[in-house]
Amino acid sequence: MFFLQILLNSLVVGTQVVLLAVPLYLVYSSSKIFHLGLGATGISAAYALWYGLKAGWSLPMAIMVALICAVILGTLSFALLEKLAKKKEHLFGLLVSFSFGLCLEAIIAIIFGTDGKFFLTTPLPTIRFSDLYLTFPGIATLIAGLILSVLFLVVVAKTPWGRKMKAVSENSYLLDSLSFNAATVRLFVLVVASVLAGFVGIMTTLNSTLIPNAGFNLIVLAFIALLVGGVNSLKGTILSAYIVVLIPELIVGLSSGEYSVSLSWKMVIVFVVAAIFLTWKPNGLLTRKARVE
Amino acid sequence: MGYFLTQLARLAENVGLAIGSHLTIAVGNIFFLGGSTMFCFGAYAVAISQKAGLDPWLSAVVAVLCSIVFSFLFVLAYIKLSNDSFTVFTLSSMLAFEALVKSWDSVTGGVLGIAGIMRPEGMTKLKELVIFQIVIMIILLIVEYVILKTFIGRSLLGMRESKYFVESLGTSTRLIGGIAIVICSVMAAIAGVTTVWRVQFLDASFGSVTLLVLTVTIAVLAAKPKIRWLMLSAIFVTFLPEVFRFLPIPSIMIGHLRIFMYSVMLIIVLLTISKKLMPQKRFI
Repeated sequence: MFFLQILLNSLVVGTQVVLLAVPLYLVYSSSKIFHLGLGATGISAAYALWYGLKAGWSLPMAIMVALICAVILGTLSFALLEKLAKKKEHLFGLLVSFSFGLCLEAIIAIIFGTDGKFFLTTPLPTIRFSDLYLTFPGIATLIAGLILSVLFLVVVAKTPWGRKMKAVSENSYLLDSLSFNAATVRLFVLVVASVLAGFVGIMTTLNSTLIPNAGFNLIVLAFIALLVGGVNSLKGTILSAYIVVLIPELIVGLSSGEYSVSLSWKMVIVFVVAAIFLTWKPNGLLTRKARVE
Repeated sequence: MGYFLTQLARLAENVGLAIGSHLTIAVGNIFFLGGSTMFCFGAYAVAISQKAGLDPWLSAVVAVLCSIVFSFLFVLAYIKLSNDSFTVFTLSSMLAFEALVKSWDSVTGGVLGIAGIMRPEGMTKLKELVIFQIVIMIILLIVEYVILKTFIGRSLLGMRESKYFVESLGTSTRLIGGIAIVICSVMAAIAGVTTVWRVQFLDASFGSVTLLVLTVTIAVLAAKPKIRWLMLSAIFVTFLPEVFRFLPIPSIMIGHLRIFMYSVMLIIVLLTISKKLMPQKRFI
């Protein structure tokens, strides 16, 4: 039963990573830029929700403010990254997005302080399945993760939107000549990615404390998942998100006695697991060898 | 007097740390962000060696040797991964190292850190240590200058233009990139060693994100593969946030304002002078 509980908890954390790795993948697919500011964007949306609730606004109103915050930050990311995406200066894009994330974190720390904030002062509502239990945000994350993973898998692989998104990163000028506006596609993807990051930011911090740099660890974890799964494979990304979360959780959870491993080792184990996978399959778990033309 | 000496020491440390990043990012266009990890690694290696009973000088030598060995992990990642994956991998190494330092408390002191790190004989006073740090900074600058004039420097500059071109001349870009990463790591570790001698205390937040952004800002702002540009850039970036000290701002906010300033500066620099870092985009 203990093993199943660890599995269930890992499933929730893994889904949070999936929900952040998917927007990371979407932005990468449309602009070839790793948007490391997504974590801070998500946490900013969570702070907007927290502020709204603390100010006594109704829940729908506070959610609306958090959503608007995410959309504004998505648009701002677009304004910063578009020029670099167009010029195919992807590494500069990565550094700009990283700095953008740090900027957001610093602004949050200046406005709200660095002490931990809580959405709820009472214990989180839980749902029991015999001896197993899950918190309400955990269930919401699992359901949203399942629906969105399937949705994005279908959209990316089977619809014209997915094809257009990939085409934008390959040759935006060619796409422009076919009367598709590449910039609009990238703007749309960044806004959707920011809203998704906002959802993850809120769900993660509902379970724990809200601190300005909470998004950084999460985005790094999501990035490692993307890297291990293969930057061009959404299926691989989703699979690896669960792997990089599950292995450390199992090692920490099942270790006991003299060989007990504390929770603080988790990030080290994630890094070691990632290093092993990347040495074994540098192009990703599910990436096949393609013919070079 | 103490304030000015500390600022001079900070400048020397920042230059020492930024030289490696300058060599990799501005010269070779290799986006290696593991500098602050290596800075932290060097500091911990010297502190742990001292804890084990080694003399401060000997522990510094051990730290540098260990950093050479540790840097091969980054070289391996450089060989295996694509450019952008390598960049984020080196960035995330900072988190992994921080987690390792916090977790392995029997060796690293965990979150409490290691206190009472000794300075070498003859450098017990801050003034003497600062002079030593400035000497080290000059030596490292000379090393970079020499490297830029050698086959490695020319190959790195060539790699910035075109990797294929360098390969076609029979030079392994992996080897040159690897050498640049090892040099960068060693320089960062040396900066870490001298810094820990100054502060004489070490905890997990030693090689923070602020330091990383500061280093990258100096390296990117320098843009050109010239030593004087690096020096000017380091002076500008190190002393600019000092303005906050003379403003009526609560001290708790100064750290965040500094990160904010560095991040904004880095964004502006990357969006405006990025062309100078990408000469292959020139149209003649």
